[in-house]
Amino acid sequence: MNTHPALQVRAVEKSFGPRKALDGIELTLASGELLGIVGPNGAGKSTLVRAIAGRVVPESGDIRVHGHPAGSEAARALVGFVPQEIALYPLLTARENLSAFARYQRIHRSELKPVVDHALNWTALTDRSGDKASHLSGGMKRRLNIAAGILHKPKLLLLDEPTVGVDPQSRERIYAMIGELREQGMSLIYTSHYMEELERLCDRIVIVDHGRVIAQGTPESLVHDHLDGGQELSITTDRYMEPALREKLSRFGASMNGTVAKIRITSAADQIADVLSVYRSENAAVRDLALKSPGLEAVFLALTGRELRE
Amino acid sequence: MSFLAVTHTHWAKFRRDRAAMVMTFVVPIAFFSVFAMLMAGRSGGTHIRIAVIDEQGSAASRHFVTQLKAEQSLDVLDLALDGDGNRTLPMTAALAEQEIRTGDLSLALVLPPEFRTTADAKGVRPKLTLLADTSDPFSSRMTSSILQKVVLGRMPFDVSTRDVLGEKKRNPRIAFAAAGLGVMFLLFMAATSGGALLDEAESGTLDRILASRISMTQLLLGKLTYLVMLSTLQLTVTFIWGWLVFGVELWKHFDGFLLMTVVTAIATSSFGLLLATVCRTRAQLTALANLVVLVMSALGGSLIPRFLMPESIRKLGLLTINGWALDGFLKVFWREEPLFALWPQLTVLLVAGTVFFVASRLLARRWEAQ
Repeated sequence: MNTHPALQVRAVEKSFGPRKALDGIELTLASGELLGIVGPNGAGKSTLVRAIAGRVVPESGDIRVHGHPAGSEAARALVGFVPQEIALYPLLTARENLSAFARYQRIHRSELKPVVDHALNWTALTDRSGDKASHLSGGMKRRLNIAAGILHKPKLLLLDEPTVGVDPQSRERIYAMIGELREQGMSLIYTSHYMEELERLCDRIVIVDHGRVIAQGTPESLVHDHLDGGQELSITTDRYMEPALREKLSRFGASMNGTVAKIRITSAADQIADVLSVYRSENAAVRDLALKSPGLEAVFLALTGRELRE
Repeated sequence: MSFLAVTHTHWAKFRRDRAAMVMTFVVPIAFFSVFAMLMAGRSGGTHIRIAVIDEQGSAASRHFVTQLKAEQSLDVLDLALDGDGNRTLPMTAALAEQEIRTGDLSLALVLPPEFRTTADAKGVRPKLTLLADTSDPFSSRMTSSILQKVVLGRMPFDVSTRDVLGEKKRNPRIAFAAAGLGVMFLLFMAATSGGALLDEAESGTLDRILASRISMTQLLLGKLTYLVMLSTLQLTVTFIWGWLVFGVELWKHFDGFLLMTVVTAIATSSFGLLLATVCRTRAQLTALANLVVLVMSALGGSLIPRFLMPESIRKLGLLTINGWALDGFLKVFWREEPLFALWPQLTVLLVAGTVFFVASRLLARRWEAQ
C-alpha cells in the first residue's frame, strides 16, 4: 500500500529570466484532500500547478506525486491536469474531444465509449455530445475542459482557475462535479481568485505570494491566526457626520468616511449597543448597519498589504 | 504506438474542417486543370495566326500566299476586323498594324509591290516585312523559319520531328504538370497543417497533451504520419482527376507514382513541421511558408520545367524538394524508367525528410518542460 502523501512539494525554486516564479515553495497534500491555492496574478500559482503536472522543471527542490517524481511516467499516469485555458480542439465535438484525450491517456479502445459516456454524463453534456466544442457555451466548455482531465481516473487532479468567466449556474454545476470527485476519494489542487469558492470548497488553503507560501491552514484557522478574530461593524448615516459624533466614534477606533463609519469589534453583543447609543445621543439617524466577519480577503490584505486582485 | 492517437485526432479534425478539405482537394485540382487545359491546347499542334497582305497582286505573289496557306502550322488571315468585330474588310498593312497594336493579331506579313522570291541581277535578296508583337517572340521566329522554307520551296529533304520519348504516350506533359503543381500544394498544405502545433501551443492544448502520456516525439511522429497520409491522398486525388479528365496514364505507372508520392510526402510533411517549429506565430509561419514554398517551386520546376531553365538555375533546383521529386516523376511518367532507377531521388528525399524531422524535433524542445 502506498503510504506517501498525494503530493509533496519541497523547497521548489524556479525562475524565468530574472523573475523568480517559485521561491522555495513547500506544501503537502493528503490523499482525498482538497487544497486551495490563492494568490494575486504572478504569485506563482500556475507555475506551481504546471510543475506538479511535469510541465515545468524546477531548478531545485523536489515534487512527488504519491512518491513518484513529478513528470515521470508513473506520476503522469496519476495526475489529471486541467489548464486555465480552454485546452480543447474547437473543431471536434464534445465526444470527439474526450475520445482524443482519452487516447492520449492510453485508455484502451474497448474502454473508450464507457469512459467518454461517463464523462459526458458527469458534465451533463450528453445531449450536446455531438456539438463542436466551439459551439458550446462558456460554461459548457469549462465543464468539458475539466472532464478531459479526469478520463483516466487520476488520483490527483490539478484545477487551474476552473471557473474563470463562468456564469453562476455553471459554476454551481462545477462545484457539484468537484463534490462527486471528492466522494470518490480523489485529491485535488484548486487555484482560484475567488475567495468565496475556496472558502466553500477547500479543506485547506495555501496563500502564495512572490513564489512563496505565506500562510496555510483551514479557512477558519487562517482568519483566526492572522486576524484578531474580531468583526467589522459598518454604520451608515443619512447625512454627513457632525464633528461631535465623529469625535465620540473615534473613541471606538472608528475609521470614517463621509456618512460611513467602520469599527472593529470583538464582542458584537456588547459593543453594538454602545456604538448605537452614541448615534442616539447625537440624534444621528442610522440608515444602514452591517456586521461582517473577516474572510480570506482580509487575511490576504493583512499578510501582504495588497488586495488580492491587484 | 501512442503516436497513432495523435494521427487519429488530426484525421477527425480534418473531417470536420470543410475549408481545409477545399484547400486540400479542390484548389489543387482547379489549378492543375487550368494548367492542363493550357498544355492540352499547345500539344494539339502550334498554329500561328498571321495576316498576309499581298500589295503586289501578281501571279507569283498569289502563288506564294497559296503556299503559305498550305502550311499546316500557319493560320493565314486575309481579312481584317470591321467595326462589329467580324473579319470582312480586305486586310491592309495599316489595318494589320492597328490590330497588332490592339492585340487582336500578333503577326502580319506584307508582300510589297516589288515582291519577288529570288535575288535580282545585282544579287540583292528579296525583302519581306513582318509586323510583329515581340511579346510573342516564339511565333515570329517560327514564322521566319517557315517563310524560308516556303521561299526556298526546293528543299532537298523535308524535316519532321519524331518525339522519341513521348510518341506512344498519352499526355505525359499533363502528368508532369500534375506532379509539379501537386508538390507545390503538398508543401503549402504541410506548412499550413504543421501550424496546428502553434495553435495548440497558443490554446494550452499542447500543455495538456504533453502532461498526458504523449511525448513530444510521439506528438510530432503522429502529426507526420497524418500529413504523409493526407499528402499521399491529395496527390493521388489530383492524379485520378488527371486520369479521368485529361487521360493521364496513372494506372500504367501506378507503382512508380505511389513510391514517388509517398517519399515526396515524407519530405514535404517533415519540411512543413520544420517551418512550424521555426516560427513563433501563425502569421510568421504564413509569411515564411509563402516565401519559401514559392521560391522552391519556381527553382524546383513546379511552375516552369527545369529543362527549360539555364544550366546554373537548373543546378540550383537540386537544392529543392520540388527539383528531386519532379525528376522522379519525370522518370516515371516520361522516361518510363524502371523503379530501381528512382533510387537517387528516393534516397535524397528520404534523407531530406529525416533531417527535417530531426531538426523540427530539436526545435520543438522549447515547448517541452521548461
